[in-house]
Amino acid sequence: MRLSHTRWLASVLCFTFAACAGTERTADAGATDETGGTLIVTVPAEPSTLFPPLLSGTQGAPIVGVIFDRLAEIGDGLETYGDRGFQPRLASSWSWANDSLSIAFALDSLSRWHDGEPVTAEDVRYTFTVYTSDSLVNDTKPLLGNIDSVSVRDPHTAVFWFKRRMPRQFYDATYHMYVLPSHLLDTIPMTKLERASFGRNPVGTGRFRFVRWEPGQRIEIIADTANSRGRALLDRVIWSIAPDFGSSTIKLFAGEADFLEQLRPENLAQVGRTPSLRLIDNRALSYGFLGFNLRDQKSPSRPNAIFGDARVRRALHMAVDRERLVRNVFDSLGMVALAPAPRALIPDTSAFTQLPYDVATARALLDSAGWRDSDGDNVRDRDGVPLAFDILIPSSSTSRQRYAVLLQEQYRAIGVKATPTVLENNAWNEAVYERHAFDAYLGAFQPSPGLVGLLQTWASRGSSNAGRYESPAFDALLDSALTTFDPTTSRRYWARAFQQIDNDVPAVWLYEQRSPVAIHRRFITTPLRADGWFVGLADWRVDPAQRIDRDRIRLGTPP
Amino acid sequence: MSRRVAPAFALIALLVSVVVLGPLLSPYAPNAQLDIIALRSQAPSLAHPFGTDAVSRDVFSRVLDGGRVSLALAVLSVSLSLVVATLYGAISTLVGGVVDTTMRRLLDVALSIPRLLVLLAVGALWGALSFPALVLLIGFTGWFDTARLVTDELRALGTREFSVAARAMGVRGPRLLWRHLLPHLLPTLVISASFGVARTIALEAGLSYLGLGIQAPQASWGTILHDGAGVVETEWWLSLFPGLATVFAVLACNALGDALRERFAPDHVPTLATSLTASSAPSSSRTVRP
Amino acid sequence: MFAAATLAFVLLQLAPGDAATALGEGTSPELRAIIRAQYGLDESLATQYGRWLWSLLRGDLGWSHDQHRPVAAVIADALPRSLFLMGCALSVSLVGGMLVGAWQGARAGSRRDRATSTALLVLYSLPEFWLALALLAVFAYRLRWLPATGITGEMYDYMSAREQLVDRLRHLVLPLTSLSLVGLALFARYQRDAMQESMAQGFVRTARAKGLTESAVRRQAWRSALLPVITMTGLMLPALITGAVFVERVFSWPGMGFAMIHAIEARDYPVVSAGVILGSAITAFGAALADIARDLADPRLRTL
Repeated sequence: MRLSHTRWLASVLCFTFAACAGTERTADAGATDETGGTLIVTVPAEPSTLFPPLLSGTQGAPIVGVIFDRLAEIGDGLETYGDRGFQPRLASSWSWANDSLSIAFALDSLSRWHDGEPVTAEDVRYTFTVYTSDSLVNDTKPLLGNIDSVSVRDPHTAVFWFKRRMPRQFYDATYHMYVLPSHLLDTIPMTKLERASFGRNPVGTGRFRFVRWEPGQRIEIIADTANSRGRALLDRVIWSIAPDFGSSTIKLFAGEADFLEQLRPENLAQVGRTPSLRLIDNRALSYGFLGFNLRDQKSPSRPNAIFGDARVRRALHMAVDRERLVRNVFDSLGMVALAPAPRALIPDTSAFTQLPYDVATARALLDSAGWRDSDGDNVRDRDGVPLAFDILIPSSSTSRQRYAVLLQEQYRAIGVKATPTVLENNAWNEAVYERHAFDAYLGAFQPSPGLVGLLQTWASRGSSNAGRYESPAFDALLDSALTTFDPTTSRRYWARAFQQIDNDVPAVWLYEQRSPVAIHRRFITTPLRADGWFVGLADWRVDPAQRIDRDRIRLGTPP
Repeated sequence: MSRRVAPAFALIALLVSVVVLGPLLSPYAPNAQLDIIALRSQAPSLAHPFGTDAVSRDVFSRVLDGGRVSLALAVLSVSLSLVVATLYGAISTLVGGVVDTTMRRLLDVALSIPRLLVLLAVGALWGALSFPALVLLIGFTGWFDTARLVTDELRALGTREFSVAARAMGVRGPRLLWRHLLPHLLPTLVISASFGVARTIALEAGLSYLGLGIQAPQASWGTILHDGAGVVETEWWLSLFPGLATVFAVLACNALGDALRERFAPDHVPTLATSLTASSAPSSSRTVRP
Repeated sequence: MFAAATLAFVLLQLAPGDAATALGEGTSPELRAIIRAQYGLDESLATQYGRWLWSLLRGDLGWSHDQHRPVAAVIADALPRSLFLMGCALSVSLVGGMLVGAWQGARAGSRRDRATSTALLVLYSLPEFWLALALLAVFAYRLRWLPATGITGEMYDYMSAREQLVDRLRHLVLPLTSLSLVGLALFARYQRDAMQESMAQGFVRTARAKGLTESAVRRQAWRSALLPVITMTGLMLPALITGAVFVERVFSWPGMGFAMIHAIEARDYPVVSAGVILGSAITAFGAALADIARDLADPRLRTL
């Protein structure tokens, strides 16, 4: 028995050596220096579907973003006034009607779907009906509210008709929708679209095309060599799925993966020490905050016993050393949030002032509001009610969990008892956004360019306004800011709106994450856009001098 | 044979004393954030033998504190399991007949449900479970195999001379159980408990590692592992020390179980949780102990 | 099995949140209402249960909301991978355990036996996921000998057949080791005791008296010690399932455990129910197998 063991072991070893020797055989076949390369991205979860209207969460966004195209791409400055900065994509040009209530998009006549069919205006019209359909579950529908309809003037011209003149008209028409192939989908009834196999086998117009999806393992896309705008420079991109974050980082540091998006602060030092990797700073469009429930949990018509008082809220804001907290959790890769919007989207960050970090004043404010420690237990109280509350955190966010623990300490120092409570994601969602059953919570939002989302998150009847902050002044300023055409006037309104909400302190704006990504040095990238690192993916390339084995597997090599 | 008992007891004694004396031994409070900038994520040093974690808490203190939580959870839930199992087994055997058969069938059904999946489901769906809730949950899902053991033991014991004699003397029901059967049952229960505690410690560590057991900021061996999950290579001390502590505790309990089994129940073929069925009687006739 | 499935269904329904809330923080209440209406989540519990049961009985496992494809497809992808891993692990544990245990049992009481026993005890006490993490850190990261995740490498589709085989093997090593080491210890302990008993039997003395060599004697003893161990195999399955869940997660092995955790988080009821049913089916199957094996294997028991 023992002898056969050895033989078996030996033959396995032989196999391995032979196989290793065999990988050198793929030669470069007529490749230019510009093109080629394989990028491997490691992600914590696979998307649930690649059908653009059903995209929820961030998992499928990069893949959809490079396989499909929009009519026009927003400029790097993420401006949403009129059509400033927008670049042609599927639409090669556009013209406004004299009354600005309609825009006619002229489609690039050379555009083709990945299956070879030409792109027509009918596709655009069909896309609009899908995105606004009631049978499909998607959250972009409210954002398209100002578009009345889309009509086909001729096979290469689609016309968008609007209800009102708004600064964001063009943005509304182009940003939210990825154009879908009507010739593949229009025979499927709307209610069945969700189940269509298209979601697992998408066909788009982008410079990358979809190749395969191994469930639970990886998704692969390759360069579309027949694309009218030119093929992508890389040969292929593979999304490799690794839900355990430890395994993800190990893949990156072991060289199995080239790109990791969700770096945690503790990995940064390691990346610095790894010569083959580099960090790219990326301003993400997100911000985190400690939100207060301004209403009483049991009887929502009454203000909250603790947080209903503005002095208490201001004290709780001033007692937090936001800078130090950011430095602990994000090291140099976070910034203090100034307002309910990331700095990249705030027109002028110096136009409004913040509450300072001032523990003495915080204590004084609490004293004057009647909260004093009457029983010597180091927790303030008033009328027998202690100044104590829970902070609800979702289980998926380690940064927020860290923040909760840090905040607990900060508040302990001024006699406030904050208790972090971690809830599983779904339970947290339900408690915060549906039942409003919380004292305080750590939330985070990812606003889109144009900041229309503020209507949902902080305006009086916003559906995501969990703490039920209601300020007619803020609502009015927000509305003005969103509907004024003149950018300068609009900026002034924004400044006043932010000042208003900063004074009211419905929440403590805690952090804004710079979302650095780690990438292998051999890749030459375009600047990363804040609303999606993948936007310029088609123009990324590999430094020819630093190619490795998998870069040499060219397109057209039979699998 | 006694070779096994002495080292096992020594291990257990060490474990218990470390855990009980924990608060005295730990240099810092387990949740104290010492200096969130300067002392963040420090490698082990003289001042911090197990290093510090991301919010500058001393890991050594946390491991000691976590030990108390992990062990308390394990001991309490296993005790609960034992009580429920014994009651169930006793009722089933003493009542006998159809009830007995039905109860045993129910037990079979319960045994076929994968315990971990249920725990995962509950943990994931309800999120933050308080300590008592966890004890109840783990206790109530863990008594099935012990109940199986108990029913089999009781049945076997029921045919032995002393219980036949007792019954002939008119001793019935609860008194029979308490006075005559239980003392003979005790070794099996204690052995089962040892292995049960070992399994539960590992189970808690696993659940908390997935984020589903004990919740932050409370320290437990599993939560420290959870904290260190993303940085296994760089902040290895967060994964190594609680892991070693867990192994040590599990080892101690297993060693104890082994030793006790050697000493008290040499007739039994080594039991896995669900192994004993009717064959336990004949197998004892096979062994001939020197 | 039926009870298990019902339990799963009830459990999920009772839990806070449902498929609508699983979509995340940013979704609006209107959207959630639409989702609920579409999937029938706002109907009464009894209606939903009835509907689910009825389709189950007809063999229709349902539709996964989260993955937008039939549950049968999800299971068809995940189950073979889990079974493959568990099967390999079981084989390795069994064979390895029997060899080690037999070797030990034949030398019961010696120093080597005691040392091995201690080593096995330590091995048996390792939590599977910790072992997995440690192996991952050492072999995938520090030494870079083996890949960290997945069943196959990213460039698998571009490899030659021989390279593909090697790739699969390389990816198999770490998960297999994590899953089988603990099982190996278990089997070894069991086999050792069985072997020890067997060596003390009468027929061994007879064999020695007849002049057989020591190793021939050992082989005889081993044969009779095999039975108890083989019967244990069926009962190992629940433990394997448990271990597999953690190992699958650490190594990103997209099997049933992996799928289950994901489904639970996404409140994907049909998938979770299907998973629980399968889990209990496997466990029940294992127990039945063990019973049969025991009956077949030991004629001495048949007389009872």
